[in-house]
Amino acid sequence: MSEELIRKARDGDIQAINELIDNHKDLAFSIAIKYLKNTEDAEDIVQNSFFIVLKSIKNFRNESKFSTWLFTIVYHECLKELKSKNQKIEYIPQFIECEEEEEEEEEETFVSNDYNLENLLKVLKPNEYTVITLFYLKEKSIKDIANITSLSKANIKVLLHRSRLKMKQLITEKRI
Amino acid sequence: MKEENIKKLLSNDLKKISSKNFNEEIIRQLNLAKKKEKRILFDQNYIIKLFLIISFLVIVISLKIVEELTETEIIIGLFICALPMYFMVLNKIYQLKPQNFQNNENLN
Repeated sequence: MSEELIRKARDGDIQAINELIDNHKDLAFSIAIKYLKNTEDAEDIVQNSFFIVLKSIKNFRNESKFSTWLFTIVYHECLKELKSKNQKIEYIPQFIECEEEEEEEEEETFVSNDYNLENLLKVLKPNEYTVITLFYLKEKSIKDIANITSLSKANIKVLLHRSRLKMKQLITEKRI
Repeated sequence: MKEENIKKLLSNDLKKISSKNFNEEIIRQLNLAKKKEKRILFDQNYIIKLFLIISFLVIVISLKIVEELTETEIIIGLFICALPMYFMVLNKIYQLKPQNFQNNENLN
C-alpha cells in the first residue's frame, strides 16, 4: 500500500501527494511547534521540508523511508532555526546512558477520551516529544530515530523512558 | 503505561495546521520547480553527443587532412570543439531570464 502510494506520488498523482502530506503533516507540525513555539515558523519549516522531500521522491521506494527522511529534515531545520535565533535545546549528557531502562509495569493506567488533553504534553521537552511520537505514532525503530535525530541509541532509550514516566505521572495526577 | 494509552494521548495532542492551502502551496511549489527544470532550449544528452561528434571530426581533420597545424588553427579547432558548451550556457541564460519565471507562474 505504502509502496503504491509512493509510486503514484512519483508519477505526479495529486491525490497521492495530498495523501502523503496528510499522513505526516500533523506530526511534523507538532514536532516543529514544540521546538520553535511559533506557529508561522513551524508551518514554514514543515512546508519547506515537504517540498524538499517530495522533490526527490524518485529516490524512495516506500513510505517509511520517505517519512524517515521527512522527519530528519524537519528536525534539523528546527535546530537550524533555533541556532539562528541563538536558542538552545536540552543537551543529553552521555553519563545518563547508563540509566536503567524502564521496567514495563502491568498496572493499567486508564486514559479516557473525556480528559481535557489539551496541552497535556506540554511537560515533555522537545527532544522527548520527538522521540516518543516517532516511536509510538510512526512506529519508527530506535535505529531510525537515531538516524533522524543524530542522537545515540542509548540516549533515545533514555528519552523514551523519561517521557513515558512523565506521561504516567501526569495521568496519575489527573486521576487524583 | 499501556502502549495504546500512550498512542491515544499522543495522537489526541497532535497540533493541526491552520493554513487551508497548506497542501496546495507545496504542490504549487513542486510544479514550479518541475517546470523550471524542464524549460530548457537544448537537451543535455543532445549537447554531449554533439560535443563528442564535433571533437572527433576536429581531431580527424587536424591529423589527417591538415599537415602542419598552426597556432591559429589549433585555437579555431578548440573553439569548434567547445561549440556545444555554448548551448549549455544558452540553456542557463534561458532559465535565468525573468520572463520565464513569469511564464512559469502563469502556467500554474
